[in-house]
Amino acid sequence: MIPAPLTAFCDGCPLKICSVHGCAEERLRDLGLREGAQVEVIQNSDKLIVRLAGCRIGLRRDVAADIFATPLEL
Amino acid sequence: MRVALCGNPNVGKTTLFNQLTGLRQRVANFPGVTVERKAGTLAGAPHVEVVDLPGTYSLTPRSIDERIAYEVLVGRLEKEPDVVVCVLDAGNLERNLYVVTQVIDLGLPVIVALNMMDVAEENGLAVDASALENDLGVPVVPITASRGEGIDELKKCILNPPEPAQVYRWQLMDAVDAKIPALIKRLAEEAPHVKPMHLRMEVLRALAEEEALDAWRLGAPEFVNRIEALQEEFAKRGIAWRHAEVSGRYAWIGPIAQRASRRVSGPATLSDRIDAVFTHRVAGPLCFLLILVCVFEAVFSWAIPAMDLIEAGVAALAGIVHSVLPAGWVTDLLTDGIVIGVGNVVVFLPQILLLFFFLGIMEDSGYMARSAFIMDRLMKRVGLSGGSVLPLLSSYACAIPGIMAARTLDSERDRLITIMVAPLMSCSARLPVYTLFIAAFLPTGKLLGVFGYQGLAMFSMYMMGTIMAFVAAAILKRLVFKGPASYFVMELPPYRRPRLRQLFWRMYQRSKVFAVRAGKIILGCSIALWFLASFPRTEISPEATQIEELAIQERNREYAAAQALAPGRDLTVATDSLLLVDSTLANALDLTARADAKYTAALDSANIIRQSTQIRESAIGHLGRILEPVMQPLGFDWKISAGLVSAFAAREVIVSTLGIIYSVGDAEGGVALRDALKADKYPDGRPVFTPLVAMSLLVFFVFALQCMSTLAIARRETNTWRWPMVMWLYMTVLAYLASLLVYQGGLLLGFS
Repeated sequence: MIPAPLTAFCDGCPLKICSVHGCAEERLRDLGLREGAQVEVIQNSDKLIVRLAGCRIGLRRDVAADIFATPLEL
Repeated sequence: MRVALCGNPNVGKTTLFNQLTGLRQRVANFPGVTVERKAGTLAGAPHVEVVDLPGTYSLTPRSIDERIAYEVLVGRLEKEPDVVVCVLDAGNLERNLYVVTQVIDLGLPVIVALNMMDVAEENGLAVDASALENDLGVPVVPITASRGEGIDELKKCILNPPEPAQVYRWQLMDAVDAKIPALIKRLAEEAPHVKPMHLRMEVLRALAEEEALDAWRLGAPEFVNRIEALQEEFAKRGIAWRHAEVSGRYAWIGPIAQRASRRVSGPATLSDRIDAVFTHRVAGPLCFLLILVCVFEAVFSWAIPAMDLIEAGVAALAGIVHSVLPAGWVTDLLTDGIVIGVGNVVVFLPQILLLFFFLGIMEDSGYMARSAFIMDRLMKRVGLSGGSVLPLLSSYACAIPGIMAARTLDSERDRLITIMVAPLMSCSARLPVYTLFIAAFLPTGKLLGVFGYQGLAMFSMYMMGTIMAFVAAAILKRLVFKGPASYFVMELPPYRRPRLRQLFWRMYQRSKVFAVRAGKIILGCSIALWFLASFPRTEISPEATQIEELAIQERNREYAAAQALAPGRDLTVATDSLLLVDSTLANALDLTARADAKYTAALDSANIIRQSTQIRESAIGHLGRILEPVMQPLGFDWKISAGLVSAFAAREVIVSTLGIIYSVGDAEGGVALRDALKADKYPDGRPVFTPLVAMSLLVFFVFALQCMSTLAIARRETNTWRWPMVMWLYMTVLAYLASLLVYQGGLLLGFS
């Protein structure tokens, strides 16, 4: 399937990040939100909380909309 | 009539298909491919054929299953369906809606079947079907296919299909959108067989998908050339053309999904469960507010005993120095300049230590990141991010730790803006000034019998500063620090128990920085101010001398009277050393004691008059009078202007300066100073201080940057004098204009 922004996934979805864009791009990669990283959206409301290898990252929606991911095949 | 069921995989499409058709199904292959074509007739309506399409995430297909779904919908494989039922997982609206928007854009009548309502509910999600219906412009039927709920409603809807909804309601990014019409025209010329309805979609697909583009190479070579040229152009201009459609659609869907689904309860692990409260849209800010109120309450109330102790200690030290060293201006400099000056810094240490303690706990426990997360929504409006919340909050205690805390911000621009607006938050040094003027000039009554006017006034001082800080941030962002919007990404560490050792160590480190850096400056300023207030020396004050002479005469007269009362007795001995006290002697002694008390009081007031004369004739007094014409429009006379000059080093100094000018010798802003302020009159009999003047002065204090230490810290943190100077200028101008507005506006409205 084609990648969708993180904002499109529901809570608890295991995902794999495909691409990262936008002004926060480098910062996101710094935080470990880079292509190929496996993440999980924990909270998806006015902002997002994403779990990444045991740590949690809070994102503004517009930032999360620049991260594209696909569901992880289990 | 043909109905197609379409939607993401695993949303219960097949379950719904079975419910709709009962057992009247035929399974075949789509022509030419080995993909199953499941079709059947609608139960109770044999003329309606239902086709279950393979699950697809989008109409920009990757897999063969997805391509089949796409080709059926555009009518390439067989005649296009009359109605499309899009099946959605109610628990995951946003991503499911993507394909719905694509189907809507095909111009087909669409019905949305909101499936798995039960699961969504179990997961604590409330989905509002009618909100979704309003936003999408297509009928939305909530169903639970597994239990057969809502199937009848859906059938009714299928039999009375809606009109096709309005297409392309989402926004493509402008740069890409501008190029689309020309490409549509080109494709229409080269490929006349494409339905006009599908042209736009085909163009978007060709732009984003290599495979889709390749498919046109034979049929429409010029179209392909133009697309490739455009792709090159976009790449040069740095436009994310490949994601243009996806982003555009999601930008439209996002808010729709947001409005339609509401999380009712939270997920499971401990940190998650805590976060479910602390980062909740509604509960989060409430918790934050509560914690804030507690912290500030603690910082203000717990610090008071320690502050009193320090003040008493400083005063005692000054007294000792005074008594040990010979009188003279060097001693005065030591006591009034240096000891009191250092005391002015040290006195804030308890508050700062406490603030650092609580901030430390918030930081170590992991709550700090959450507070930034919660407040981001508010901060975004003024162009800052959640990261600025704590620096700004710390500035309520003191702008210095606030400005230092701005270091944690990623974005240099956000950091500068935060530093620039932090001093607008009312710090604790403004509190004594607020207290004095509010207590002196505002009525003690209550509004609606609940809120005291004075308390409200105090609160509004804090609000004014805070609101102006946000306004200033927004303006700075627009005018001075232009650039791309700030973003907010922040790691939320797991909740942890704070370690005390670490906590105290950091408190010590930070307080040291404050005491040393700010201390140096305040010390320097205090000395400078002392000089300004003490020179040129005016030793002669005829008024004071006259009072002293009168006092001596008065005392001598009363002593004589007492002696006359008890002739021949020694009145200089202390009463308690006498064995025998008769009534005559007692009366006489009483008289002398009263005479002594009067004399001392007279000497004190002479002394204060001397100090007051000194200030009036000192450099600061002159400065005050020079400033008077400028400050007069704000309602300030030379005394207030002199006070403002002295307050430049540190705001609270104005209270003691006014105390000295008004000769009440009351540096604490107590009742005596209040009465003196109220009693003061211009030569023509108008009062100097009216409630309006007091308001004007208060407003001035809310906005003005009267704090050397803040400037010095800003200099250190920005590594240039430029920003501190800009900060001082804009805040002073702001304070002046605001006071002008209050005073002149007040006069116009007839207040006095």
